[in-house]
Amino acid sequence: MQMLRGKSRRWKLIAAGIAAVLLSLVGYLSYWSSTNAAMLRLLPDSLPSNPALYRFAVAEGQSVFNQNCASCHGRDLQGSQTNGVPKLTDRDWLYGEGRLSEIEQIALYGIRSANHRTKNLADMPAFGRQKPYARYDLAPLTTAEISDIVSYIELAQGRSPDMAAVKRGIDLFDRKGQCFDCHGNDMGGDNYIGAPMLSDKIWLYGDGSRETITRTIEQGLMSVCPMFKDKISPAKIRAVAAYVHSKAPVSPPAD
Amino acid sequence: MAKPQPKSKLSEKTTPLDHGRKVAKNMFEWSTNPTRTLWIGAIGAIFGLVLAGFGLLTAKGTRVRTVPPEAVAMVNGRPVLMADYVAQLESETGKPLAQADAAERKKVLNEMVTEELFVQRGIETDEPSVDQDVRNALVNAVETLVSVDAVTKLPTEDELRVYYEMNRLNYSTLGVLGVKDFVAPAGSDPATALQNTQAAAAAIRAGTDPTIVAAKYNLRDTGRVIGGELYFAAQIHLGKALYSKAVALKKGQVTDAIIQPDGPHVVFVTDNTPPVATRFEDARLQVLTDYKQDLQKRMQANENKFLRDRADILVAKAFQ
Repeated sequence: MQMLRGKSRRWKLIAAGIAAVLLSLVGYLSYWSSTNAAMLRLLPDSLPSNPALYRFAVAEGQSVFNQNCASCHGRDLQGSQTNGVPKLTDRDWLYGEGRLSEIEQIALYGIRSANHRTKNLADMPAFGRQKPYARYDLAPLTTAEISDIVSYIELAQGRSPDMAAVKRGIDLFDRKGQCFDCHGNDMGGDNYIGAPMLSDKIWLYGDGSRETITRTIEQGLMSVCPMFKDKISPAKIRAVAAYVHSKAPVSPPAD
Repeated sequence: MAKPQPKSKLSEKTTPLDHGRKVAKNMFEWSTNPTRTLWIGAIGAIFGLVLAGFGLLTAKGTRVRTVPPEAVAMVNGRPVLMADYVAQLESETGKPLAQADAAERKKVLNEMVTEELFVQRGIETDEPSVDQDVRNALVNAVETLVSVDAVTKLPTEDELRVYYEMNRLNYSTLGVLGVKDFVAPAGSDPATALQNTQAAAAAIRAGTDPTIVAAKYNLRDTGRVIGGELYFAAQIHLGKALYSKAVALKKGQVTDAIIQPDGPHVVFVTDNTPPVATRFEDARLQVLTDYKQDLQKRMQANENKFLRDRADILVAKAFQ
């Protein structure tokens, strides 16, 4: 009888343990889902001003980033200058100004992806090809012409190229190449269409050497970021946007 | 006389088999209690209903009475996402949501609700089968959708090198041709014109400046090619016959007289830089773009094949 009582007590303890684990699980899931809901109810750009929720989102976002974005941008968010994948830890945003709502839009709809809300207004033409641009007619540039444009960009970079080439390059930049249309007359770029600034030292592709600028003009650039709208939940998308936002220097401190 | 002590249960010898029988008997008695059975059945049914209800209410497309946290509105069960609303409002008003007034917010939300309603109505009325623009948009969307993995996947360096080797001819600089194309003036006697152009070609070969030669033999510079032009452009401007003769020459050489419908021509080559094969390191970016585009096309072709295989397509005999 005592043995039976002992067994019964053990079973009771096990049952109580299981119940406690289940209750903790339910409690955690309930906390997790209510925090997710609270994070989603906020306007995206208001999230950083709520430290507790922002911290929660950043922590959740890291694993989402590693699973979905790190294959191109790298776990350290440094991107790849070899493949033209942007670094996400500087102030130089190819699209937008680094606001959380803008990052969330890109996570939702990507860049040049299959959705009408995606960012898809321009590409870098490949001027070394017979038909440089698929969107509208642009004449190809000769090697000499490309070289002149590179000289003009070098001048904007503060280097000392051949000024006769620069003069020709300015004309090509403004007329035949129509480079000004995306990069602007001042080479300041356009973060609405994803055209990078050419007068700073931050390069999307290559290291800013004459050789890599020439290659970019000859061969073009048209990187793609996939859309995640139907792949991952809205909460995860908000979280990954918060994570990327937290890594950029413009982000406010988490606390 | 001392009463005999009743046998203690503890002192009874119980084998594990007896114990098992006892438990089974108790369980049988417990389960045959009708009230208890009813209660257990009821709890099971309630549990099942809760599970089914949870499944139903959380399934995609379920009609709900609440707006999920990520949305600003629900239209027939479809959410209008907050992220879309914020982006559209910024795009329309040019200012962040916080700075937009109530009227602007309401206007944008109404537009988005209307759009959703019209899209849903369009699906109900089967617009894709009647509207060519809708059909084109759907075709484009599916083409992009099926190949999105190809576009976003980064190939390894080895894969790129293999692709480069297989398509080596595609990777070269574009050739540049510069010429001065001279023609005898219209209306001149054909025999004299031919004689003059032949003499001009000989004089240029002898080292006389082409412009002086042209003036001497009364030849006109057609100006078809200005400066150095890419091979394909020079071909368009000169025409196949003149281009094929000129492109075979080196800088400083001149063709023989070439008879054309507008009279005999002589072409002096001022520049001829043939295409040069590009090294993998220099062509890498272009190789990457081409690799992805090829993969995209293959994936689209596979999708097309898959759809055709599972489709029921009947073609009229006359059109087979």
